[in-house]
Amino acid sequence: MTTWTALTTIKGEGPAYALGERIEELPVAPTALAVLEVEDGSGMWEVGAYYTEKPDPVALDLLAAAAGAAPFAVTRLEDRDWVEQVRRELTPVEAGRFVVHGAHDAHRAPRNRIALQIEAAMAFGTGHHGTTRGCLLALDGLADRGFRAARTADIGCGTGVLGMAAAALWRGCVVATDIDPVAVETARANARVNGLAPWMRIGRANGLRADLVREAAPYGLIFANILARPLRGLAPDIARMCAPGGRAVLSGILNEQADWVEGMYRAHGFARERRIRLGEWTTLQLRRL
Amino acid sequence: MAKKIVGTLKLQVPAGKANPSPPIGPALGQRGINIMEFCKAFNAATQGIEPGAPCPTIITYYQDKSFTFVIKTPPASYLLKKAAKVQSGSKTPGRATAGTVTVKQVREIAEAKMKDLNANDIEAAMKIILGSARSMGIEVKG
Repeated sequence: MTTWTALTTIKGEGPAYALGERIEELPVAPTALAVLEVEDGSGMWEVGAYYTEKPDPVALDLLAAAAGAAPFAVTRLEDRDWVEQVRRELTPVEAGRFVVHGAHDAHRAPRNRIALQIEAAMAFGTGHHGTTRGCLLALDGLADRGFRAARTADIGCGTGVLGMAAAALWRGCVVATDIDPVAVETARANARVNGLAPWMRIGRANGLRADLVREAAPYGLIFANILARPLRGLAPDIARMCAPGGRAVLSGILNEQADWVEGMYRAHGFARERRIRLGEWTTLQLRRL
Repeated sequence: MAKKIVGTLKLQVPAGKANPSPPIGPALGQRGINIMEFCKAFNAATQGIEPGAPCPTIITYYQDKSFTFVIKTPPASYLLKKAAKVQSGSKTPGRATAGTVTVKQVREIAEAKMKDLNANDIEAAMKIILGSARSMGIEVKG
């Protein structure tokens, strides 16, 4: 089937979504519409429309001009195997001794590494992001120095990748929770696929006050890959549930927020052990005093 | 997890029939979104909907290539044509009638679409559906 695309760029999220709505109101509506941030820090957004027949370039360019967007580039997309193309792009992610890969790359996982099979699907935590990779690198560094946690908590677990990495490493008890029920189901499925379910208790919870989390406390290691503001709010609970000498690995923190988060945890009895910066994201590795 | 949204994709996908052909393949594939995982999840989520019914779907995708999606109810125009048992609306609405539906059917459509409509109550939702019927040349009786 022939596909035509009309693509443009425009400054700002609001104008991009507004332009998308105008495109949908044209007499020939697109079969799909994409509004996406251009990931280069420029603040530009891409608006792309897909059609089964060649769209009217004049109508599109009038919309673009009125919105202050660049003229649309209208092109015919050649038929290709998009599934295969995506598989080629979703390459395994390496973080120290860990390799996170999709099922399509299972045969490529090196035998001398800890391989975790995670699909890029309905939960965050595929490894293709600095926050997840930062946590895995922190865990790898801890293991290098002989650190071992009998009990680990993964708060806001998404795919469950961090908890699974700890379970694969130490075969200790891991409690993994998320506020999102889809993430909880995804994490359970991932634990099964990776043969780690016997070590993991996975459930839905908001924060650390759920019975599931409290029952296994104190923890030798607590992961929380969330965002800076909720991380600050969780500081008292994480301090209470982290064993003396235990570690907290916090992520989802923009570089410029790192001091703000670290300060809160210092005030709750933690000392910084390591900062890992990957792109715009910082992972904090803290030791409970 | 620290979800950072990259953007959204809007698609109209037939219930239970998502596959990698256009527009899903190119729209998701050009952005590196896992097409087969989306198709699997979408088809599972639409099992309770009549197969083939067009479902407006909004996919939100994140920096690590994971995604979530929301499925809206099929468009009023689709539901009206189905209720009137016609293939298309009138080419000259207001002058030629393409078909007829009953007030009861309009109410049923309004109830089905209530969660996606900007309406406070069922009467307001029915007015929206009646407007759609009028613009399609579908007459409402009873």
